[in-house]
Amino acid sequence: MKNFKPNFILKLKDKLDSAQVLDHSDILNTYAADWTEIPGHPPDVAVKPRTVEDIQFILKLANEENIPVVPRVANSNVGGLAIPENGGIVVDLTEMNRILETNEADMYAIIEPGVTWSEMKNHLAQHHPKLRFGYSLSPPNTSILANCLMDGLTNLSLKHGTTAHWINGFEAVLPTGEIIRTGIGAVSSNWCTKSPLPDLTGLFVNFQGTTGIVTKLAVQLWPNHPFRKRFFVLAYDTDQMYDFINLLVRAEVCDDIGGLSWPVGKMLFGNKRPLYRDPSEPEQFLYIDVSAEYEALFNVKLAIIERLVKEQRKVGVRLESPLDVKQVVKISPRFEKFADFPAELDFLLELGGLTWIGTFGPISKWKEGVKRGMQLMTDRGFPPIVVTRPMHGGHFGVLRFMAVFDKTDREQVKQVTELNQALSDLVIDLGFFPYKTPAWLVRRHRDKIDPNFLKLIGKVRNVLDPNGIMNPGKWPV
Amino acid sequence: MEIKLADPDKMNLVGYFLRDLLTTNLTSEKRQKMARHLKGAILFNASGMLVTLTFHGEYIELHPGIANQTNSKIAGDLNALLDVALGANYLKYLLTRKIKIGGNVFKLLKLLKLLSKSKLT
Repeated sequence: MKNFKPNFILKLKDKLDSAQVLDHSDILNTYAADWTEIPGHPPDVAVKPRTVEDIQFILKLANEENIPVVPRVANSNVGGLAIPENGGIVVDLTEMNRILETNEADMYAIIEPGVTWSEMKNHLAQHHPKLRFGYSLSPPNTSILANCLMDGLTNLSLKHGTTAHWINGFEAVLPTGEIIRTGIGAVSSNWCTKSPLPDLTGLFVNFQGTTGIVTKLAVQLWPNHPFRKRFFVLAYDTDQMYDFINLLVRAEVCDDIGGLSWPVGKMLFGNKRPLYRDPSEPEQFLYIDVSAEYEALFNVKLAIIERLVKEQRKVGVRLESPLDVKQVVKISPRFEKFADFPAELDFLLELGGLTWIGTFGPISKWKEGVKRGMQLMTDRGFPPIVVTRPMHGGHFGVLRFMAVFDKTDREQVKQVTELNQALSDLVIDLGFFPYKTPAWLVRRHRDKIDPNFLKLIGKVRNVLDPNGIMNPGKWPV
Repeated sequence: MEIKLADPDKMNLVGYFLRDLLTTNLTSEKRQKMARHLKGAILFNASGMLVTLTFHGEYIELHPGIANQTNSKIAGDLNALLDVALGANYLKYLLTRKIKIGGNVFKLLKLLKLLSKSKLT
């Protein structure tokens, strides 16, 4: 779809402020790629809208001229989802970054796309300290809205599911320029829930920007409990750790549990590409978050966790006693990164490239998935970095294999591309499916996806985006 | 005072913790003087993870596993040793056998003082 006409830029500059329309090649190159191995491609122009009307104008014009449009904020999706592979316009939403409303009584906030984790955290701490949002293991300057639209995970996802579950509704500009609202916000000025209207929110969740641009999002907030702790538990055996996680999940005392394989610890200690594990070292470690409104309840939760650890150790399970992260930070200040979220991922980005096959799927297949995936990574010369997290009361889990690599090294890019292909084959076979699904993966595994499901996605997109301008190439059906 | 990791690619978790702990603790002149006077090698065993600490006067070298001939050793589970590092009373852990020592007791007690975040008396 390369029907780009240069006078389109003049039309944009005519209507919008010149500072909003960026067409210098140096700047456009910064929009071309992300951390992953997926080849980059620059847009023809980047536009920074400030209002909904700006976005309407851009989309109406793009439709008239048949120009591809790719919406983005920080572009940290680790899936190539905002790479403008057909050129066209990148709509950079970073300047739409207001928190429009915080409703303390009904526990929700309405935010624009450019609102980041750190902005939300600071806003709530300053103005609404009894409320919190969940925070992601991702850089503080990335977009909450984008995370929600991609089923993101946070440190409350064990209790409350992905951030898509927390969407009460939104306002969006359709590809043809109309504005819609979903959720109860479609009939009310209060955006407290998406029920009980027909749920159109799903037409934008995981559609990767192919159905329009969300301009306002109503998200649920949660009580900010005064008593809170995070601690680590080191586990010397992978199977035993997952059995222990299951016990913790079903005890329903934790806000969040994360399983991290041994290379993560070593990378935090400065080993950029750890390939060796001494047999005496733990295979995995867990971080566990606990909070409560009342001290008595908090102490009961902690006591239950301690008891579960002791009971496991009595029957020979090799677990260390829980280590308070704040204490670990006193010994090793670099663990400050894990003391709270959001967190800078600089230790993962030291080689320049980061990619993953991150999936949702059955917790019952974790053990097999983790062990086979770690072996596959080791066999191919990669540190076996695995993250697992139980979600939504343990109804499903995250299984994520991460690889760091030198983006400037062609051989490493080739190796990591092949690694991801092999990992995707493995996880899909076990019943997991990658979130933030890269286009290459959809193409590779198309034969496993229900054809009517794919047809329906196509029908929906044809209705909403008849000219196919929105992020073409993503979820290719 | 420099803390060196011999064979960093093979270093285990305990070695990394010891490095960080010694790096922050040995900013004090008193502790540096104590470390300079320690000689020889000590085997550190935390939950089965072994590290040899060798004191070379102006620097300390950490080696994964059993490296040089050691005439002293200290062993315990990782949590107990970290508790001591955070300032818990090491004598209590020694008397309750949560931490065990063997060899040159005075050298080992000095090491425990170096590792502990409690103030030196």
